[in-house]
Amino acid sequence: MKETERKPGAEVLPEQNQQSREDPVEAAEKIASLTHQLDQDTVREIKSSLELLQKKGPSGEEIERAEEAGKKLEREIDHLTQEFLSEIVKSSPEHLRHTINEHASFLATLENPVPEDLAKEYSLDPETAQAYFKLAQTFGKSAEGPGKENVAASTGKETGASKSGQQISEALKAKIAELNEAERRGEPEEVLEAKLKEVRNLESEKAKEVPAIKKPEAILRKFNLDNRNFIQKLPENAWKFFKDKILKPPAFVLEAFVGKISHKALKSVESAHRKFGFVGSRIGILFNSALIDREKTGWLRYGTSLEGLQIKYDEQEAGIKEFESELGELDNQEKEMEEEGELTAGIKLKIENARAKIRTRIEQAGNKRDSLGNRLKETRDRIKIYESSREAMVKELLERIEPNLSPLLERSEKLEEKKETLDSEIADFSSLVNEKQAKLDEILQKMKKYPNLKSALKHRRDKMQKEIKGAKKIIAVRGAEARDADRELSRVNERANPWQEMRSQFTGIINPGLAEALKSLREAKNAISQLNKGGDEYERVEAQYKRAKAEYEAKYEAAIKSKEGNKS
Amino acid sequence: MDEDKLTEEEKKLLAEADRELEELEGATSNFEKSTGKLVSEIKKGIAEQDKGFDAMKKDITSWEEKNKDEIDSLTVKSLVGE
Repeated sequence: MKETERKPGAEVLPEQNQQSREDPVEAAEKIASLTHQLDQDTVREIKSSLELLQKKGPSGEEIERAEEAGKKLEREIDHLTQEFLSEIVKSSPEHLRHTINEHASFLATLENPVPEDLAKEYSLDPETAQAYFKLAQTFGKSAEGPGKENVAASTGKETGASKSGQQISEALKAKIAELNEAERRGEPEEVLEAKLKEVRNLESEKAKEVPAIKKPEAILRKFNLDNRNFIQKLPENAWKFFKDKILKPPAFVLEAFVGKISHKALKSVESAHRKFGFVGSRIGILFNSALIDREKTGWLRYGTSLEGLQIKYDEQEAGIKEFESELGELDNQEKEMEEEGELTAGIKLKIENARAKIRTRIEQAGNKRDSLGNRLKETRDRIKIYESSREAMVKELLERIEPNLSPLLERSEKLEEKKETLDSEIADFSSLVNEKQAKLDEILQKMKKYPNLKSALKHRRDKMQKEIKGAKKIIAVRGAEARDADRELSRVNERANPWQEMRSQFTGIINPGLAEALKSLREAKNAISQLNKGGDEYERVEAQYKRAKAEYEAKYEAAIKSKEGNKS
Repeated sequence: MDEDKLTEEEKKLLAEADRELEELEGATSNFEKSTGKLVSEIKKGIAEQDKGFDAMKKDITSWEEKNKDEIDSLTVKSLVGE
């Protein structure tokens, strides 16, 4: 299909055409590894959300519900991406193409029942969209999977078709042998002519036979009997179209498709977060680390990404330099030949021609480089605009979080102090009660020696026992209250954690150095959480974690100071 | 017990016991009051913190909801790299 036939709305860029010539397996491997990373982040996000929910202290039923939803979501993501992607990477190219096609068509059947929508959805050209649509219509049937009967029927038909061709070939061989034998024996002219006629008939019959096109069984098995027979009967040009356009969708189609799944997965996480009351998840999705990485590398539309364009620009630049050095070499050669008197008019003409060719190439590469340079500038501007609107949004959010969060954190600190005072008062009073008890025991012991003090002793002892009992009871009550306060304070402080994390993460977005430090800190934290305490490896990772933490804290402090400085 | 008949030593012991008991009584009462105040302040503070976090959540949720379209359009942009 020619590029000029594409719908104007399809927005197919030249880079996408270039990508369509890429090896789809290689492209899918790239996508798979990046999406795998994305999914790791997504799954991690779900897990941390569940942990948060557990710490928040909702009822057991709610936790169970959240866990179930989380697991369901994980399974869903697994189903949509992990399994599919790992499968496509491991599969043979044919299988890969078919699987992708199957999933795309399935998705299309569910979501986009008309080819126009498909074209728009996946940036397909109308012809491919139409083909996808047709396949999508039949996939519902093939999804049931072919029965044994179907497989046998298909195999039988295939065998039958090849046998017929083989019979003709064998008959032809036999007739040629007969003709040769008749000639050798010197049989009459009429006999020879009759045999020759038979041979020619068989030859023309053989010529009519359509050469069998190899259609991999692995692909055929994926279709139901009707589809399989239909594919078997496809003439060569139609098979070529089917093979190239349907079983081997261009890389950008795969990328758009996988991007679509990732989008869905991220959206599911977001909706789960919202469902369970994790505020900021909508804006948080803007700063999903996988998305940020993707934005940098532009794997979804690599050709138009900053990185992709820069590589192409550098290639042209390097090409120009190479041509210029070739030109220099040519000049030197000409000079040397002239000095040695070897520069004939013929050689000079040849050198001039070569020079002209190189200059044309330099001009062409220069034009390409300039055009890429313009696009790079446009892309940088576009990203800048995007980043600044994103930053504006984040700043607005931070300005909203800050006045709410700071007093809460301050109050938390004061409450912690009060709790510490309570603990120390309980400890001090407990010691005092013990001291007084010892002292009174000692006095009462002495009083025993004096018979005159017998009744006074009884009275003091009763009073002492009553006082000590009362004091210990109060200590016990306060102790229980202190423990309750401890639990409640932890719970309330936990409520601050997501906000603090959000604040530091968003501050990190505005300050890329901080974001980098945050990423290292998270990696180190993740690494340490996977090890058991003790041992050289643990110590090494722990040291790394401490370094990362110190670095992050220093950068965070600096970012806050610079923010305060900007305000003032 | 006739206190006049008590020796100086006995009087001293009685006074000492009474003083210790009085001190214990006073300390217990002070402890009960001061720690009771602390506990009630902490409880009140925790309730206020809960209210504060609820209000913040409400505030940010409403901001997020208000800016939903803009945030989503940025999300889509980051997803398609456009």
